[in-house]
Amino acid sequence: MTEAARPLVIGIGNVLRGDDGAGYRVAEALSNGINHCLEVITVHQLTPELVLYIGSASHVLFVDASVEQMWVVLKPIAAQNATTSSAAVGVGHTITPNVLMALAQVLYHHCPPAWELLIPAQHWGHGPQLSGLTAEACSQALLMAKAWGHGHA
Amino acid sequence: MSASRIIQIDPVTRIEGHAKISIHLDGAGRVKIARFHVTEYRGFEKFCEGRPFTEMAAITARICGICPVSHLLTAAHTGDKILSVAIPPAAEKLRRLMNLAQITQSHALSFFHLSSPDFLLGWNSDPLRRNIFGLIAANPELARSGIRLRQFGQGVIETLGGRKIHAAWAVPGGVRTPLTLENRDAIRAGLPEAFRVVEQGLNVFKQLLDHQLQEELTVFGHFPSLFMGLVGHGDRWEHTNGVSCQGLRVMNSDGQILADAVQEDDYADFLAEAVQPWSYLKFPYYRPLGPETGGYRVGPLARLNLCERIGTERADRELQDMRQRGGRVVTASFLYHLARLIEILACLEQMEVLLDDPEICSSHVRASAEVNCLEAVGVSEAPRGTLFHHYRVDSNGLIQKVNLIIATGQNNGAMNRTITQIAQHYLTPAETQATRLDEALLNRIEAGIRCYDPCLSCSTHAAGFMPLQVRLFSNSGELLEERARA
Repeated sequence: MTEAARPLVIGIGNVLRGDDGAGYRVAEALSNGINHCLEVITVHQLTPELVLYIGSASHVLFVDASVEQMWVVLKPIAAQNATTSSAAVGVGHTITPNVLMALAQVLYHHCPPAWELLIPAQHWGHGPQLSGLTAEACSQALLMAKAWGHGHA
Repeated sequence: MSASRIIQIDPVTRIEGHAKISIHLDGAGRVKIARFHVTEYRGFEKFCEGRPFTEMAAITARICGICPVSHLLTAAHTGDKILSVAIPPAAEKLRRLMNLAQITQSHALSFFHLSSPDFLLGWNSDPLRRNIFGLIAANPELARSGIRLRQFGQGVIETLGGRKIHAAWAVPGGVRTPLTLENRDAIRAGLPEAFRVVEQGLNVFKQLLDHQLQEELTVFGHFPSLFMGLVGHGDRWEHTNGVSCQGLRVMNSDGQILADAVQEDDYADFLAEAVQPWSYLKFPYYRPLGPETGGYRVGPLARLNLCERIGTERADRELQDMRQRGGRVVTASFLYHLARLIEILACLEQMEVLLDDPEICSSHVRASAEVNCLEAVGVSEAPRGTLFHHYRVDSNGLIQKVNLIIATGQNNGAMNRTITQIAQHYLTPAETQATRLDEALLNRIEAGIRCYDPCLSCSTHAAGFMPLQVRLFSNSGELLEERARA
């Protein structure tokens, strides 16, 4: 890790599939803010080359929609070894934050502390609209992401 | 006589999207047929109706996170035709540059991360290891190189279009921003390493083909079929329908050209799509030959079969090597992997040529016009094959109807033939009586699908028409219930 390492925020989702775009939107709003101490990436889905950004980050925050949450949750990603992560690997469409972090560890021997910011989501139809629940949750998630950024910048 | 049994493998891992496979045995326990079921439904075409055609590039680029650039460029090209403009030469070259980068990064993901574990770890390897972590353990440098090559392609795309590629850099009439001299030089600086990586991949894969991957050439989708794709003037390899392109070509396995210089506007005259009740994905075919014998393959192998030459030195040398291995028209789908590596090499060489072109940094990159045409078809070569966009608009430019024919759909028939061939070869009647399938067989079947690198995120469409079939099986594989709806 270099002295210039910055916290990295990765917003995930498809903004044309309703609530699926929640993570993308929160990260986009974050990047439009004033916090230049953060690096913010918005992606449709996680892909292997993101490991290069992770490899040079001080901390990482994945922001994503989740059908399993009732409210916005910020939780650390437990450090995993390659063997454990292999069980969840599906490199391509189904790559997960855990797999990316494990990749950073085995490829570059650098696995910065990482968190997931999960936004409750329920509607996945075509269109850019968020459901009421998710739109409200996005506002809260943005505040939490900003606080996370201030805490690690 | 025993009842027929159906064995399902669900889901297929490491391809984009979701699908399942069923293997149907006859009464004697022999494989009758295998089917690749696509059950994910997308329906973006309906969603596009009523939107301005100028937004189509931005909308369709969001269909898929794996090949957004292909939709972006094809939508922009289709929009050019609605405007009835000839785009500035620099814009065409910049679009070509972006498509070359897209093919590079997509093929890098397919070869180095999705398929290499199959080749390097062996068919009998534990599925928990037969993935990128297993690859890293076996060949860490290859894994790192693959990531760097993919990042190079992504980096070129971001340099041209900005990180938010979905913001639609390519627009009807050209592109939004020119390439600066500084950015041109930055792209150029990344080429030497990219060349090293792809040549490393070629060396590794050709050694495998020479030794442990011989049988795969004859079993993993080795059959005659048609091939379709764009061809450039002088019978060169082509990926973009611009001034250097002569049109679409259809060729059979004997090398006979059935249709040539076909223009994209005429696609409906020579392509048709069959529907099967067990898949959302349609089965396109060459209309003059009908659905039974008109099946064709698209993508890297098809493009290399259709052209006489690529037009760059190193890639042409590798093309000749591939033809020595598989014949003038290569019918072994396993060599899609080799074709991808050769195409990466071709992309890098053509990038080099484009970056040396003084016109590439011209500031004139966009033509303007009003709606001058109410219907247009655009085609380009996506990494996985030929991509068609067909729009009908009203006089205000609002979309009335959209049809998208994507590459994965066009390889649907070939994927089904491939898994049938693999299952028939490796699943003997004695094995089918067992309650547990051999992992090696399942690995091979999945790998047969991965030859085509399918991306199903955008493959399924035709809102409101797609039939759905639901089957319920007992643990022993007996069919208990079947329900279908249209």
